[in-house]
Amino acid sequence: MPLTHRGREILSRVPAGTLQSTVGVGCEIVRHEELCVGCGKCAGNCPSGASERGALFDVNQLLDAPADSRRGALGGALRRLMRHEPDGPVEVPERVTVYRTIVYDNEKCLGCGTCVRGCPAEAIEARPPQADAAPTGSVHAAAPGAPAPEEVCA
Amino acid sequence: MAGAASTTGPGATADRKIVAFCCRECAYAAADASANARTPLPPTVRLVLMPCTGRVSPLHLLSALAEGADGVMVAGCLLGQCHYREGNFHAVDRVAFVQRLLRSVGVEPERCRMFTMSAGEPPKFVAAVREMDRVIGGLPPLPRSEDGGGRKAASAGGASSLAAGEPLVAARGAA
Amino acid sequence: MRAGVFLCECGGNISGVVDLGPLAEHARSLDGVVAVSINQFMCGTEGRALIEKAVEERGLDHFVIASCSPRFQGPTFERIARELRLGENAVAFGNIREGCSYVHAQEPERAQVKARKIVEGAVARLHHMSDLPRQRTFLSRSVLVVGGGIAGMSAAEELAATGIEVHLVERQQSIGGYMARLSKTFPTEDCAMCSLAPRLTGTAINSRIHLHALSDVTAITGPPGEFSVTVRHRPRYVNEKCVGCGECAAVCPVTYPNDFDFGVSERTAVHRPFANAVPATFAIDRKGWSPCKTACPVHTSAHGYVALVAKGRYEEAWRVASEPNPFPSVCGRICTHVCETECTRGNVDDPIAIAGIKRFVADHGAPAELPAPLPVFYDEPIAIVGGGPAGLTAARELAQFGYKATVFEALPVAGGMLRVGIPEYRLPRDVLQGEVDRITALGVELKTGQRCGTDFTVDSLFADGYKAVFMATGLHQSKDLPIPGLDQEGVLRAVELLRAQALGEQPSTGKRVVVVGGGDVAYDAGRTAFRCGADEVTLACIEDERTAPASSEEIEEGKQEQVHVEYSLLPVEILGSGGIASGVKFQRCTLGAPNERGWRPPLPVEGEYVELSGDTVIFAVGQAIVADFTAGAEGVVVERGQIGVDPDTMMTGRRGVFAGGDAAAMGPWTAIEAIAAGRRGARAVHNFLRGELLVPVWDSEADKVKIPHTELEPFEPQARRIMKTLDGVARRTTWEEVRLGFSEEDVREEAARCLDCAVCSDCKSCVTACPADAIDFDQKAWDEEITVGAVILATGHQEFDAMRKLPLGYSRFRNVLTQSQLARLLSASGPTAGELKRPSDGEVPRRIFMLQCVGSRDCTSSGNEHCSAICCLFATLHSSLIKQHYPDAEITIGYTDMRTPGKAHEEYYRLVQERGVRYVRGRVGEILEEQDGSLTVRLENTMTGSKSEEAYDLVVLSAGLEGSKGTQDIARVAGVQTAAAGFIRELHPKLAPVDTQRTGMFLCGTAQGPKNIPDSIAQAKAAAARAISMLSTGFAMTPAQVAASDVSVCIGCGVCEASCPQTAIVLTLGADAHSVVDPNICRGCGICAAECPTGAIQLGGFSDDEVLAEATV
Repeated sequence: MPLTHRGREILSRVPAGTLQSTVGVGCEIVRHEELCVGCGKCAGNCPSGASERGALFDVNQLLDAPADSRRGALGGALRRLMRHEPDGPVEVPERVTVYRTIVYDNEKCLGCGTCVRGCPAEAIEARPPQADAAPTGSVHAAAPGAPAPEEVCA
Repeated sequence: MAGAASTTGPGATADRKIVAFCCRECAYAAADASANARTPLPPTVRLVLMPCTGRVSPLHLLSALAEGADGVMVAGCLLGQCHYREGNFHAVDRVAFVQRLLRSVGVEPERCRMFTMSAGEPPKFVAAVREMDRVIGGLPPLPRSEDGGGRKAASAGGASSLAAGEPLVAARGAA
Repeated sequence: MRAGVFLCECGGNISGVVDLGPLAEHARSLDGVVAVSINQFMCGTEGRALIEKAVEERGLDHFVIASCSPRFQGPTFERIARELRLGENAVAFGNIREGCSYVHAQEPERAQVKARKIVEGAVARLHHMSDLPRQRTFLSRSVLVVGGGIAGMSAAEELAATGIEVHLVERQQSIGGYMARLSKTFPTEDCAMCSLAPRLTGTAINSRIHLHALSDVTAITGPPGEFSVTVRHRPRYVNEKCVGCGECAAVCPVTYPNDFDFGVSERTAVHRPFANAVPATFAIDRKGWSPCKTACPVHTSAHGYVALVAKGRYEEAWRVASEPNPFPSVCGRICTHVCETECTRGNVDDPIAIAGIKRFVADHGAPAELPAPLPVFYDEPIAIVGGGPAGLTAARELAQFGYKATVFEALPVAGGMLRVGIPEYRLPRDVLQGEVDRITALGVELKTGQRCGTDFTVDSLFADGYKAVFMATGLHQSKDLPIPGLDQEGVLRAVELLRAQALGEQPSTGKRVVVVGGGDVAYDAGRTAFRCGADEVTLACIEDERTAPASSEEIEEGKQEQVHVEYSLLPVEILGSGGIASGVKFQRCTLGAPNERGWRPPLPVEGEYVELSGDTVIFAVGQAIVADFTAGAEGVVVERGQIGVDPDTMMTGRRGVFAGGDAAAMGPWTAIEAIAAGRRGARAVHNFLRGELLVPVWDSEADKVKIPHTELEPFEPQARRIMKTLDGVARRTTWEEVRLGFSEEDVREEAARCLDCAVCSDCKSCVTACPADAIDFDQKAWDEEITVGAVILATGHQEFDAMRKLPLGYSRFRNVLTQSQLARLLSASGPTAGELKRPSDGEVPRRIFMLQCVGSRDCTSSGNEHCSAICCLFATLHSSLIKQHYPDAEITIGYTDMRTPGKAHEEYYRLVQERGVRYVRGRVGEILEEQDGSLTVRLENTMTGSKSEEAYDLVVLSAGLEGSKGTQDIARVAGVQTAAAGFIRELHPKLAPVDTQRTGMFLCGTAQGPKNIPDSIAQAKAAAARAISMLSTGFAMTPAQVAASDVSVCIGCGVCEASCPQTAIVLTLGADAHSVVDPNICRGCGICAAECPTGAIQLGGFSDDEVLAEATV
């Protein structure tokens, strides 16, 4: 897959062996918080520390989650009780692990897609690099028949 | 359950309902022991047997409140004496989390409480239930939106119970 | 769903408050309810009959029991449901007694409403209840007991008495554990061994107890009831023929700190820890191969002959040295001794002078007479081409296999390069000849003056009836460099020069000699030149001083003989005029980066030239093969200067023709490598002729043992003995041997420096000494699979390492001991037979100080927080014993608090106080050692606050207890948790003190926590009872109330796995990873179900739907 300038620049400063795959570096990572189950695998897998399990929880994630999900069920119950919109994120006690908002730092992100492949809830998407970045270089297999960017990233 | 017949009990809180999730090893045993001593309890309390308070999830607590309970309590072993080692530590944190969720959306956090006691401390169980009954009795009825599907519906709930001037925010997620 | 609701009056307890009639009416109206009954006592037989009838007549699949608390009669009704084949989880309970009538008796109206709600909730719950799967487990009537101390033995004894088969696994070579090492036991002061010995014997003779000593449990898998256990048996190297006579220990040359005595005595490598040991069989403490043995290409046990030399047993040492190597006296002189390079002593100070010791052994230990010829077993004659070290070694090995071997040597003398490449002043001819004679005496035929390709060919050998040929022709030609001027007079080649000299010619080398080359051969050529009349010898090599390739001995001796060496010179031209050489022109060079074979090419420095003048130039820049044997040897190919062989079979391209030694090796071209190649060649020939792999061609290398640097600290440096030599310049005119060998005194002192890396030195003296033929060095570790129903962990404790408390001086000061060490010194069967002698001088100490709480009740990072429970009485006991034996002794015990709970313990403490032992509440800041070994204790009295310095003859530290290393290991293998200080966590500290978190695994003794002997035994018997009660039914079902994961919902996030306190959940691997709960481990707490972010994992009987159905009514 052609790499963007950013992708190549990122790749140049990543220690060898850090990434499961260099394919996809430079992707734009899009998180769908409403699908997130809060398991934290993305944070555990992230080679650059761009995703971290936060100390806070955005209550709106419950209210926005699909009704048939566990978070949605909790959100449904909360919605029946709520007297106003959430004040803001709540602090989460130590042993509550899945109701934490993942803090994602785009600046640290390599766009490698490791989190995308590891997400059991399919709540993260990697979008191929923007077309405006001229494809001037390539990494490994830029051969004809190389998989489409979508396949590679997700 | 709104249609449930209510007796003429003492005070206006007779029709209140408090769900007590009790662990089998300590709290439920303490409840049994206090009952065998015929210690009166407020009839508002409804015991639900759990193997361990570690089984109680935020969903149980919020759903019970949403479905008609005015208060929920989790009663487990003394800290450090959980029969499964750390179930009650989980429960303490989950209760704290639910309290923060409630506070965040304007519901009194004291509607959800955690208590610990050993099986040999029936008075502690009785005191916990009475305390819960007293607190819940002191709170206004818990309003609920009948339609759990949209935030807008929340405004149909107990706007009147809110502090003056506190606006109800229109649904954001509907967009 | 067809549900029944059964309302219990409880003899008025319920019906006295709640009106059951309307309640029954209400129940009848609920969805799914098809039968409602009221009975006075539902828990009675009538109640059961009601349920049975309703199930039969109305086809019930679920029912509600509205009665007392489910904690009382729940199991009764669950059993009824099970017996009526409604499965698990068919009953919901409405607690209308404790939950209603008992507590709301004053408010019957509200009780009535609440009872309706309770019944509604129970019925609502029924809608979500489904059968729960349970697994049937067969219960093997056998138990694994890990640890053979007093706890393990007691548990085993108890189990065996009920007919259960017990596998008792003990890591040490004998059972007995810590108790076997004690002198006496408190508070009765009876002898520990006296009460233990009958137990040891009882365990040994009990036919239901299968003892696995010197064994480790390496894996426990499978469900409780059918645990599959892997037991690794470590080799004892002594088999069951052992009669325990101890002849082996009498001849063992190794002395090693005795771990059984906590290091206060020494023992041999083959040993038995104590007289009553069970099994009584001796065992060899053999950690592997010492580094010297591993390093040696022929794996000579240098450790073996060094140990024997230290004991003055030179004949046996010679046997060890000559067993793998027919040339011990040669290798004692000219070997490159990689054994010394690897010697662990080198990490302390200098390596043992192994080669010098070996030379002494060969010179003084070899038998005077030649060996007798060996019998020939096999018909196939074998030809060996080349009578150097490789060929002669192969001949000896083949003769030992039972073949007739004939050696063809091109030169008039045998010995190869040893004879014609190494000068006589390094290796005297008669020494070499003696070893060649020893080989030919075995029946090896030697034909000299027979050159392959000229006098005979490989083809002719086969035609003459030889069935296999081993080619070991060596490298007998000097390499040349492609530089001008080589063909002038006065240019010599080192190999030719040395050979000519060795064969008795008198080569002339001129007066001023330049040797090109810097290896051993260059030195040999240069030093030979001196002895041929040269006055001045200069070596010039491309390497620098640091990378010079010659051995340190050659360099040192060259220096003594005033060989001048120039480094970093690359020869470019031989100077001369009129065809007569006059010197060499060199270019200055540096060495480039090493290539893939490690060779560093010289890089000439532009414009820097050096000229060395001389009348003779000797080239010593390498040797090459003389490939004149290929005629008539089709298939034997010389490629890149060596004979091509298959490294696995040593066979050349021609069937039946093998090759080895320098001619078939890429180097290093050393004598010992050639000897190794000869051994390999002989084995290859043997395998080929016999048609099967009888002997492995390559030696398998056992685990190399290296003492870690951290354990070398206690060894004090001792200088390596230097071997005497002839005077440096004077010896230039003589062919006398330069190195004079060690004196007997030196050699024994040098040998005594050995650290005994592998403990057993592989000298095999015990093999000879054993009258029962019980020593078996071929034993290997092997694994055994055992199926057991339950496991009892009794792996015990270890003493806190008092070295961690630096200011107390333990291990630094000789007269600072621990209570365990003192126990050995006070033991009648201990190293001093019960006499208290202080280690520094063997005197009886008069003033003794005992310090309590060493590493216990200690919140610093170097100690443990817990109280070790036994130390107060342990010290009191030892004080009492000393006081009774030595009434003059003044004993002070410095304690934190005296803790004497337990039967008769306080009384004993009082008694010992009355015997005159002084107890001081105090802490010690520091202990200092005086010149005479006595000790100054800086003590703070914590009662009075006063500080004092007191002098003592002996200090004993009451070091606390920690979970033993074996306990840590078994916890990992068994998957049970350990807590602080390495003790195994019990399932519940009060309610389940001998259960572990894993069903079917129990624990007892000091593996659980510090405790005394009777408590250990009590706990052991409790653990045995738990195992017996578990196994008594023959089979078991896994509990219904366990967590289970719905694979179709689970997304494999792993949150449950992380949350499970029992580690009952594992995540499968792969793309569709999901969690799997082991119902044998799960204890049904439900933490995972509450954590699960998708609801995939649910707890049987307490699913979200069930709980919410009841809670939201």
